[in-house]
Amino acid sequence: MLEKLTRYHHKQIVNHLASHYVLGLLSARVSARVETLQRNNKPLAQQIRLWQQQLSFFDRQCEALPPESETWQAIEQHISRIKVVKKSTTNTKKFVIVASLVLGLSLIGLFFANLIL
Amino acid sequence: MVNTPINVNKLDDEQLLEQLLVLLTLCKLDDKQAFAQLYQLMSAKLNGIAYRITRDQKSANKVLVNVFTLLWQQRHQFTFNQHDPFIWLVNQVKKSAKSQLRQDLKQQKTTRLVLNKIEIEQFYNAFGEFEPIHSKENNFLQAIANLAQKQSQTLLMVYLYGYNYQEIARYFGTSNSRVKSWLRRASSKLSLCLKN
Repeated sequence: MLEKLTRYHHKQIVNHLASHYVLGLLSARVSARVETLQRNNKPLAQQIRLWQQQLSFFDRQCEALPPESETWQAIEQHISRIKVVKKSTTNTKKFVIVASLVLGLSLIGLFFANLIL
Repeated sequence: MVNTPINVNKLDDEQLLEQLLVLLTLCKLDDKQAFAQLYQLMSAKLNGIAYRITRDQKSANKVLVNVFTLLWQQRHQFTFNQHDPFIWLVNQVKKSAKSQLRQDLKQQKTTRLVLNKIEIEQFYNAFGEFEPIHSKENNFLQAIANLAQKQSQTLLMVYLYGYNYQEIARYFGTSNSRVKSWLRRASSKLSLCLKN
């Protein structure tokens, strides 16, 4: 167990993970693991930051390409839909709770009615 | 309403970071106008990065929709001390573009390996030209230029275009393990330069 934890502080492993994470070469599962690891592993977090900073030079050089005008409208639609979904989910939850309460009370009522009769 | 996107290339890195921080802080306060300004500022650049991977304008636009929706959804969780906003946005775009590309490849909407062959070579040649200018102040660029040609070319194919091992192996007509070895060597050489 201890060996498992200390290997993530080994220089070569830290560099391999950091570089491959930034280059996008890790599988989704390993990538997620690296994201969790870096929260408590300072050398790994620092190395990732260094790789990102250096390689971002190429992204800053990338030529801008204006998107189609409908793209912003699509974003606005998506955002407004998130709210609607949230509201409807809350309403559905409320309905389920109320329905369960009514059903529960009816069952208890029936149980006592049977006892009395 | 969003007007024509601003050319981010006209801003220097510090100005861009400053603007991004201001707009993201306002977004945290649910300011939709700031969100629209953020889109205006970054959309063309991010669309260019998405297009570089997807090779399809519509797919790149879809990526933009996904990333800006995610950004608005997660605006309260964003922490400035942990992330450089530009890098965070680019990473989200790349992640989403790769996933979009996988879908496009399944539906055979793209043949990007053929299309990109010329561009990769052009970019690599262009890198050879601009590298001496920038490498004076940037050791990392110099280190990339000093790598063996296949190592540096593979590195740029992976980072810029999101190629995976299999695609690069096919491109060079070699095995996956050889490509892995080129990248391993490249990353360990470059890590020495990061320490310095």
